[in-house]
Amino acid sequence: MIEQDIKKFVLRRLIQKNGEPEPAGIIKLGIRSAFNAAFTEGELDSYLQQLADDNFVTIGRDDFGASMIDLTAKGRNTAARLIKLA
Amino acid sequence: MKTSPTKSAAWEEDSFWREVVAVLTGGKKLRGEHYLQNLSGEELEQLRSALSAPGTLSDQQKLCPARRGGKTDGELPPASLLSPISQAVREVTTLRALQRQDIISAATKDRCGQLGIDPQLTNAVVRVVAEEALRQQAENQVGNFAISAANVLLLAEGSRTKAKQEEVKIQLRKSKLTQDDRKIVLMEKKAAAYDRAQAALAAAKTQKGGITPETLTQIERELKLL
Repeated sequence: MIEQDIKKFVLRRLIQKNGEPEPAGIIKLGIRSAFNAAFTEGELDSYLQQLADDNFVTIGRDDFGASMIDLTAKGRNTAARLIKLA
Repeated sequence: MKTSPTKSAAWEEDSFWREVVAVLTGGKKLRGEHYLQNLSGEELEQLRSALSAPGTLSDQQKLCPARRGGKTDGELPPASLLSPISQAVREVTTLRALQRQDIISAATKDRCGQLGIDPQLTNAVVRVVAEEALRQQAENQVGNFAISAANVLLLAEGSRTKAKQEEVKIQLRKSKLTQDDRKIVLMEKKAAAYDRAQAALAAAKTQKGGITPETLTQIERELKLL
């Protein structure tokens, strides 16, 4: 269940970014802050990788070599259907 | 028959609570008998501060406004109801903090751009600061990291100013060298004129008829160049 909540949270955050990718580090810190849980780096990496495997997001790299998360078209459609932001 | 306009719930008037309800329901309609549906604006504020108070959920429960209407009127909301609301409040609060972070980052980038600081350095510092700020927030810490980061930017600005000053110094040195070159050329010209005047005088001394008006004119012309 929490995985589903994390998925929605990540999609919400990426929708907020309005087409700009977000550093994975910021997303992970956001998840920790929002869910008040002591997730390990490995757990958070695996949540993000799962989202990438399901084609909701892509994981790329920026000029500094940091992981960047971006929303795919499928992710955007899912977000619109699942989240329905107020 | 007249229909009275439906009075909207207090949460619908507040963008924060609208987002909380959207997280809770996934964008669906909130049930009419839901706890949040009958809370006033003040009670929603009370609920928000109760959920951010330190302690366990049952500690927070005691600070929450009582339920309104229905069979449970006047009772405190159960922990099973407060738990998802608390989670949704935390999610929305974090999303808002991230949004605020975006605004701060954009403003910082703008300012650094105005100061002419290397955009790559700015991006790196802005990101590190954002990550640290969020980490501190997640861990409920307050640190002086932002001050250190600001110092890094100031140092960068300082080195940029120093580099500019060096550039100006080099430019000044170059123009001084050009002036020196011109002085040398002028002095060489004067020396040549002196030599020519001396030669004309020496030639006049050895001439039979002595110094002629032509020789005088020539000497006068060379002397003017000195």
